Amino acid sequence: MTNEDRVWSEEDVVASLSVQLDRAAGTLVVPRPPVAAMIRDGRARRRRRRAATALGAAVVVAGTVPFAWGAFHSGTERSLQPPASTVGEFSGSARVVQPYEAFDIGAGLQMTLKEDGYLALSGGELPRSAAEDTGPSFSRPEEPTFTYPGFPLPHGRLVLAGMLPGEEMPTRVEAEWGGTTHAARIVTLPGEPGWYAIHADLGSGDAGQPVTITVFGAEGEVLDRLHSAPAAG
Amino acid sequence: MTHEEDEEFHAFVAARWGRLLRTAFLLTGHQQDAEDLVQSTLTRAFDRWGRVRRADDPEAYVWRMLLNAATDRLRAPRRLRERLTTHLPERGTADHSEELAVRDVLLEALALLSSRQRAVVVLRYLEGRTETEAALLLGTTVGTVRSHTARALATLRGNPALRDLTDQRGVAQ
Repeated sequence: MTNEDRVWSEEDVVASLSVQLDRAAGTLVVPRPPVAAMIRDGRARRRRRRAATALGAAVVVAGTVPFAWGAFHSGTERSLQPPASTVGEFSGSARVVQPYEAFDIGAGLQMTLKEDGYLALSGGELPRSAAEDTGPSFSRPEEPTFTYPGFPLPHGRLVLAGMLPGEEMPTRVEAEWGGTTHAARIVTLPGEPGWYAIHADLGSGDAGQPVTITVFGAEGEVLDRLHSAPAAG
Repeated sequence: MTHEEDEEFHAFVAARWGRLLRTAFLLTGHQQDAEDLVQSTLTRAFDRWGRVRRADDPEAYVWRMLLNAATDRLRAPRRLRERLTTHLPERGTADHSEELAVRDVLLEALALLSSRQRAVVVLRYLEGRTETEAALLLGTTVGTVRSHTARALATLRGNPALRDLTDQRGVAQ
């Protein structure tokens, strides 16, 4: 009887499969699980994911800031013009500031950093108590300056303000929005906090356009690239 | 992630690594691909460990991640890849030649199935999962699992090499 003559039923196939699959799987060489590598890579993935999430939140928050700020200041033309210093050669080294030191980031805004990785934005000098009340990593629009919704701005203004984790300090950060690449400023605290803040006034444009942040290392290599679609202000 | 959670992940992996690897091997057809698949799946599981822990069935959660990743991988265009490895590829020896022949025939037969059919066959007949369990892991219905099973078995029945193998060795091996 040839193979063609013999009826090979579905039951035959099923009975054979379990045996043959087990035999085939038995030929596998099972190495030790690289648990340490998985934990290390998993942590790196989590850092990148959280940085991307936080960056998205930062862009959203910052995108709404000039919206309300313009409302507070009656939407003067001056408030809508990005300072000339926001597009330039911010490369080489990070600016080191002291905890709670408020510094200008353009568009009339100020940023404050805290040792525990908090970032706060304000339209003026930020009281120490206010800094302590701000949420993790990014300011909540709770200051009166930032809480006047509904004023229609003629142009969508976007100020990038975010915080990124990183043991290696980048030498350059670029923010591309609407076809224009802006140099972002890098700011950190003394010592090695394990994170740094970036800020850039991206000017006015289509708030629906995504922002691409590229972080460069010492040799000009790309350390990270993040994408975020900012909310309209 | 705390040290305690690191240890929890370590224990989770240690208890499942071999089984996940066996399944991944039959899903991908290559040892190195299987290791890559399981390692990348578990790395993503560690990234989302909080979510995995909170799942009703953490093990099923990770299995679903593995099966989805395997499906995506099989759908991706084939490409040649170079790999760095810490161990040399296994070489067939006289003692193992028969087992390797079985493996090669079976892997070639499985390669003719769709990614979903292949996953169903491995889950049902290697893992011994029920139709309901397979449906849950694949995120589909029992009816779809039955349909995939029937089509897969029809394809395998028409595979002369697999049939020869079974005839030579006897069905009741």
